[in-house]
Amino acid sequence: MTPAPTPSTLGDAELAAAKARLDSLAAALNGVLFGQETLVRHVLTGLLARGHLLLEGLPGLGKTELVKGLARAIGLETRRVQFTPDLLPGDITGTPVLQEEDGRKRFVFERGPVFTNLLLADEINRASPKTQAALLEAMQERRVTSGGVTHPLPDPFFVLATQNPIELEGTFPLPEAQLDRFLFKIDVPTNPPEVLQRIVLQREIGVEPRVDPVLTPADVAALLALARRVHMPEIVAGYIARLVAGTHAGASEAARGVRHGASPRAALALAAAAKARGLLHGRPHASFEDVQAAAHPVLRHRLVLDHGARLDGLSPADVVTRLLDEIPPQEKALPGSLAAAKVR
Amino acid sequence: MRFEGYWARRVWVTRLCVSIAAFLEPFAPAACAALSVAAAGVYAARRLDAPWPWLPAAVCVPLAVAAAWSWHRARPRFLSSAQVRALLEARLGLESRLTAAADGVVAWPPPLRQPVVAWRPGRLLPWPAGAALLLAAGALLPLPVPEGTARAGSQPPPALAEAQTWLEQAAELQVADPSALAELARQAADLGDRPPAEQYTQAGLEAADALRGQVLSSLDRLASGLADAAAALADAAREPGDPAASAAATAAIEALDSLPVGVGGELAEALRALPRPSANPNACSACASALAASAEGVRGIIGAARGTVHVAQLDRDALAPETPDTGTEGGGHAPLALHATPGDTDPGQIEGLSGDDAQASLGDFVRETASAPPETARGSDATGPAGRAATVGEGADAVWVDRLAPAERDAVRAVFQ
Repeated sequence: MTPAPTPSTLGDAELAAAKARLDSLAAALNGVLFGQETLVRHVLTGLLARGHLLLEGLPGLGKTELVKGLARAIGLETRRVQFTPDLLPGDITGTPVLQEEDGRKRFVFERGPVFTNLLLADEINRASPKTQAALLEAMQERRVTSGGVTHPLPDPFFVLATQNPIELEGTFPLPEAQLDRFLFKIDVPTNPPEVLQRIVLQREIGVEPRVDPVLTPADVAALLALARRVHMPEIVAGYIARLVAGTHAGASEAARGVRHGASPRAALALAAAAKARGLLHGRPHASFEDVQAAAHPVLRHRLVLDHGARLDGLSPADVVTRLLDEIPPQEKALPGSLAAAKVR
Repeated sequence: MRFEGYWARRVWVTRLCVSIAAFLEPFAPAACAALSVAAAGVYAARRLDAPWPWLPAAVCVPLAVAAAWSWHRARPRFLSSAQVRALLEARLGLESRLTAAADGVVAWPPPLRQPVVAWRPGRLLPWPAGAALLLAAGALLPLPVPEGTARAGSQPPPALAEAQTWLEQAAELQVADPSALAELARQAADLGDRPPAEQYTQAGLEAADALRGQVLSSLDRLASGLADAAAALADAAREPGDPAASAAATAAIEALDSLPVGVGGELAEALRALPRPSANPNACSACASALAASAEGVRGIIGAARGTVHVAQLDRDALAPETPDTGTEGGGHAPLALHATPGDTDPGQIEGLSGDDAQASLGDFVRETASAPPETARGSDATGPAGRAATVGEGADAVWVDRLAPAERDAVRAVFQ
């Protein structure tokens, strides 16, 4: 029998310190990437939830710069891999190489770029499915097995992958099962003119923005531990469960046109993201607002629509929006004669 | 813990509002349907002129059933305290602080006064309004006037009115026993005190007819008894020494006591003080005359009581002498004249009706009178289109009695005219 969740013991001082650190980290990243506060928030949420992130957006929007800035700000080791069709799994995970030592030859595992804290997988959909699968296995298991030997990955280990949504020729779109490994799929929006103006004034091609370290790896570890201690109220957990269950065809009106709904892993991801966002806001507990804020990046890449819905122009984001409208936090809808009042 | 009480109260109030709304949604239409049935019952009761003591039960029982059904339907929609807290948090932007406070994670937030729910009266009000309208319609809608009531208005049925009239006339005559007449008058008053709609029901009309028949029979028998006594007493006065005549007179007088409506007033006193015929023939003769006059008086009432007496009398003016050119058939007036009362006819050309004669209907031959000049009627054919006209060709007036409705009598009168 599963023990009842114990209330959080996070103290106000702990929370205040954590919030201050996270705010400074967010400020540092916002100094790297102008006008993308929401994106930065999502990235930080994913980081605190120990999740892997998939950034989807046009080239040149600053995805790589964001990851580089993040790596510098938190003082973690980072590596970048440009995925190409000829990339092999061993190029990611590492390969055993024959080495001679003291006159004896033996295979030594040469660690690949995946052995880092923060891996930037640029244009992940350009690699072959075999290579994608090798990376995604490492993401899930957080270890690499080669030659019968298991090599654990560093802790923490994050993958921030990017993909270009417009160039489909020569790409290998990630299958749904592998997309499910990503905690968030975040759309990187284009910049409005005022942001572009700011970029033009404050940036120069070939010159990387300066980012000072804000956190130490130990701080990051402490923040990750704090995020796990954030309290998840039972009714919020129920809300998460109803949202995820509602993504399945026939389970809700919003799920009309959905062929495959979200998995239990999505529910876990949503809960982790809600707790992380709660900490990001300096709260010792997760809230409905946290769940609602994380619902889009957590759920939309996990929904598979049928052909009819696609022909109708329905997108997974539309389904999530409708789902949030349909399923109330209090579980049961209000009677029709009792409308929700306008709260100022 | 400082604001826990406030939030506990607010959760309770909001929960109550939600529960009431969830209950009212199915209850409003169900109650409206129940009250519609009650409204129909009220209207039906008014039409039947039935009392309404059952009305509260008729309203309350369907309402109770509707309430039980609505409770059963609404119960799954009631919110728990935790759900209401979630509602408040979501609406007030409290980021689950109430839930976390209830779990002991954070302190209770300070009070917020903004309402989170608002009633939509438009969703519920049409139902009670419709039910109230239906109830008001059932209670206030004008009832259609029954056919009998429209015909009668505020007047009693004709049979009852006639019976009352005859009783009054009999009382004025001061011949009949007042107590017997009073008993009949009381019965008539009982019928007359009933509501008009009830008087014109089948039972009411039959009761009035029965009373009318009872009055008629009683007066008829009284008149016959008086006439018989008068005849016997006259015979005894003419033959004072005849014991048989004297005995017959005594028996006839004693028979008056066994009548439903006996003799009363001064006539009864005179009969009680009457000496033997052999002792005072003159007194007996005077009493016989009084009895005969009383009998005639009662018969006059009886004649009216049999309905409007139409006396058919040969219209001698209409019986023009037969000429070679014009016959009596096919032209001119019918050789009969109708009169509503016997007094309107010429002397000697009417017979009082009694017994079976009173049951004659239009066209029936009753009898001939000998007073009509045979030469007047001879050879004429007075058969009219309304029926067989009593053989006036034999030379006599025919007495017609009908019990027709006024419209029918008017029609017959028009035909004869």
